[in-house]
Amino acid sequence: MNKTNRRVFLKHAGVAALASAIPGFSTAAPSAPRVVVIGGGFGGATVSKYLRLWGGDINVTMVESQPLHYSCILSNGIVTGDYGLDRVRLQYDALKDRHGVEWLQGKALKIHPDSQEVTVRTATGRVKLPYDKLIVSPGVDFISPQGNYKAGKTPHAWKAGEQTINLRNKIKNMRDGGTFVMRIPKAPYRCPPGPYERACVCADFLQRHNPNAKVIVLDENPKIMAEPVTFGNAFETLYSDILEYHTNVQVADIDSPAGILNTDIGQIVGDVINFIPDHKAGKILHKSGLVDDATNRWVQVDPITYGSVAHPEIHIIGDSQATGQPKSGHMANAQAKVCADAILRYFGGEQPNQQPSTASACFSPITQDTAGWLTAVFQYDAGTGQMKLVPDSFAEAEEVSKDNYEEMFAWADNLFADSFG
Amino acid sequence: MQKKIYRLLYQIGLALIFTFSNAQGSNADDSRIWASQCFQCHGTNGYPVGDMDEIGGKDPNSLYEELIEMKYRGKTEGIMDLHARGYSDEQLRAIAEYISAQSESKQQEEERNQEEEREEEEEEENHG
Ligand SMILES: Cc1cc2nc3c(=O)[nH]c(=O)nc-3n(C[C@H](O)[C@H](O)[C@H](O)COP(=O)(O)OP(=O)(O)OC[C@H]3O[C@@H](n4cnc5c(N)ncnc54)[C@H](O)[C@@H]3O)c2cc1C
Ligand code: HEC
Repeated sequence: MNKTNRRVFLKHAGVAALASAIPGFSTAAPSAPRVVVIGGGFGGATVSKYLRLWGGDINVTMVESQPLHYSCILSNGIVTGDYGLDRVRLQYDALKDRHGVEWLQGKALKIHPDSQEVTVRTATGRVKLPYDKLIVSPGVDFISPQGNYKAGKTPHAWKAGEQTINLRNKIKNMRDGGTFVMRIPKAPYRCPPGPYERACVCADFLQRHNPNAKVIVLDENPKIMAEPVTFGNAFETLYSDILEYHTNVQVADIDSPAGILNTDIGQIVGDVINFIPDHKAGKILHKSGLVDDATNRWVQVDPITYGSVAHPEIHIIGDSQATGQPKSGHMANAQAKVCADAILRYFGGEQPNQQPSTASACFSPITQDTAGWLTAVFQYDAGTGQMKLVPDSFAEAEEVSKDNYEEMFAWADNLFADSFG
Repeated sequence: MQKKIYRLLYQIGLALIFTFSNAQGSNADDSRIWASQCFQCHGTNGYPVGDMDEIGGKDPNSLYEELIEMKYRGKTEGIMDLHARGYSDEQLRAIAEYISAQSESKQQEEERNQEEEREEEEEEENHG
């Protein structure tokens, strides 16, 4: 046996040894292809499920740092106290028990593209997981602003969990007639309508519970980035007495403990500040040297497989990749299916589907019982090698309604079940 | 160079193992990516949870006709019409065929039964 072959052989032997050492492992034959998935959010959960559902005899190991996932989708209703964190709590039981996904709690520290391994820190020490294919869906990381920035003092609540509850408590306990300041990051960020939706539901909450309060929305962008009619109307009619909306605002620095923002429209002081920082790809991708787009923030991929342009055996789906499709959970789920299909075909010696499609939907509550929505379908364009919006499929809801608010929960529960169930 | 050839041989080997051990599983056709874009809303394989239309296992012709109607009616009547407009007629035909051939999983059936029982209980309470 020559050196290269032995390395490959040992790699598989290592997987088999690891597989028998961890309970719940070994659902597929030890010789079956080995896929490692980093991150168990919408992208990671869906790709793990569909690899097993469509693929059968294939080893899928999910590495996730948290014991369960709190969905950002529906989380603005937690900020306003309409329901609790349990409404968005998603478990990994179905992936493990129904779909035979091997699940490892741990933090992926580094990807080694040359040896095709991932270093993972678990409660019992470090392990190196070898892979034939790696899928990375770590969501986003934040770029800290200048100044004395403390996320605990000026919560973003742009990853659900502790941060969401923190913002909830700060808004609920804000002094009578206090000022709530929101900073909207420069695009691209996750969930294009999300910040405007939050501005609306927070203004609605304050109008009802703290009627002398004021809401100041500072947008880094030149205009409302999604559902301009829906949000424009809401700002100008429903919330005109309470909410001020400013575009093109640059924040020079922040003092989180003091509640002060220095901006190009002057100093802004807030009793509660919801500062959503600019976004970049998950930390693991930066640390592993995989970030390669022009802005040095995201990872370039081929949208037929979601394989990275630099390392085709490493696939990036969800918020961290650079295709320019909206960063949403619905979309992460969509890309996961394209990726799973391509990987299964690859192992089967087949070409990927040359005409993949994806879709996105975001439901946006405007008050405590009404909502709008935004949706779109994308098709692959062979000419440019990019995913292209189908113009006729792209629209925001014609009206904000109670029916849409009800439909939002039906959609979310099905998205949750299709990804995690 | 040599490394590359071994890598290729290894991948061919993997492909063989995979195809061999998974003979019945590899019926990948292009429609599964398109049809699975309906499952975010209508549930995996078209079998939803809660208050959403079940489309799995329906007659392929009536599914196709509904999709065509939703795609071409002049004014959109909701979020579904926009999704119908996202696909070519050929894709919609393939999607209808794929979804029509899917059956409900055991878990989905159990969950649906539990849901129905809960609803019945609630109704009894409301009337009782
Ligand atoms: C307020 C709000 C509202 C939203 N509303 C909508 C909506 O209406 N519709 C919609 O479609 N989307 C919505 N989104 C966007 C949606 O939440 C994201 O786009 C989606 O979660 C992206 O999926 P992902 O798989 O890329 O990342 P995530 O879902 O964030 O998952 C990433 C996972 O990876 C894990 N992880 C990261 N790094 C590591 C590591 N090194 N090792 C191990 N584990 C790791 C994390 O713990 C996490 O569980 C909303 C977002 C927000 C903030
Ligand atoms: C964003 C969520 C969403 C997506 C994605 C979606 N649908 Fe729908 N669909 C709906 C809703 C909501 C309705 C109910 C429409 C109504 O009653 O006006 C519906 C209705 C339908 C109906 C009519 C069912 C009936 O019993 O009358 C069919 C058929 C259907 N969808 C098929 C599909 C197919 C096929 C796809 C994928 C191409 C798809 N849907 C994607 C939300 C969605």
